[in-house]
Amino acid sequence: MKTLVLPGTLDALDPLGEFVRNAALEAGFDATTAGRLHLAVDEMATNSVTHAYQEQGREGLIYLEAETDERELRVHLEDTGPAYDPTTRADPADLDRPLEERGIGGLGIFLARRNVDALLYERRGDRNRLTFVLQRPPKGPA
Amino acid sequence: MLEITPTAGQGFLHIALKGEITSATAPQLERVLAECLAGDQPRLWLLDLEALPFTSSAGLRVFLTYTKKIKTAGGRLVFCSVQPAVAEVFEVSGFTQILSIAPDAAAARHLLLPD
Repeated sequence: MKTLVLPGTLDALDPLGEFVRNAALEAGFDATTAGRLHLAVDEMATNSVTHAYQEQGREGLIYLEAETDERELRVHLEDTGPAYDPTTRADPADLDRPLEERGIGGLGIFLARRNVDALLYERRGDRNRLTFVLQRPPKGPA
Repeated sequence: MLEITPTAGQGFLHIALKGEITSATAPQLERVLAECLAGDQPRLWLLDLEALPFTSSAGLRVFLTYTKKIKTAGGRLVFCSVQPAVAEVFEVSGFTQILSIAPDAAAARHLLLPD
C-alpha cells in the first residue's frame, strides 16, 4: 500500500494528481482510465480543502492511500472535517439545459462518481473517508 | 501548472492554455479573462485547448462563466483543439451543446471570421 499526506490546501492538488495517476498506471490501467481517476479524486479533494477546512476556518491534512489486489485498485481520501457524505448527493438536473439556464455548480461530485466503478463513504473516528474503486480488467489466458 | 498565453492581432483574441486546470489554477485563468474583458474588450475570442490534457469542474465553471459574460458583452467565444479527456468531460457535462467548439485553430478562425 502506498500513502501520501498533503497539506489541506489547493497546492495539494498537483502532487495528488501525480500520486493518483501513478497508482493507476502501476496497477495496469491505461492513461485514459488513470486520467478519469485523477479527475474523480481531484474533485473530491477540492471539496475537502474548501468545505472541510477553508470554510470552517480550519487547517488540516489530506490523507491518500492506494492499494491494489488482483481484482481492483482502491484509492482512499481522508480529511478531518465535519462529517459529510457526498455520495448521497443527487446529480445536477440541468445538464441538458441551454446556456442561459445552466448553473455553475454541482458538477464535481457528478464527475467523480461517473469516473470510477464505485465511490464509497464512511466516517472513521474524526475522519471522512472516501474510497474510489476501479475494477481491473480480467486477465487474458496465460 | 497552467500557462496562459493571450495573443492579439489576428482579428480575434487567441488565448492558448497549456497544462492542467484544477481549483488551484482556475483562478489564474479567471484573472486573465477578467483583465482581457475589462481592458481591450475584444469582441471575438478563441480559447485554444490543444495543450490542455486535463480540466476539473473548476475549469468548466470558468468556461461557462466567461462564455456567458462575453456573450452578454456582445462578443463571441469559440473553443478549439479540445483533447480527448477534456472532450469527454465536456460531453458528459452537456457542454458540447452550449459551447462553440471547433476541431482546430483554422476551423475556429472560420467560425469567428467568416469570409
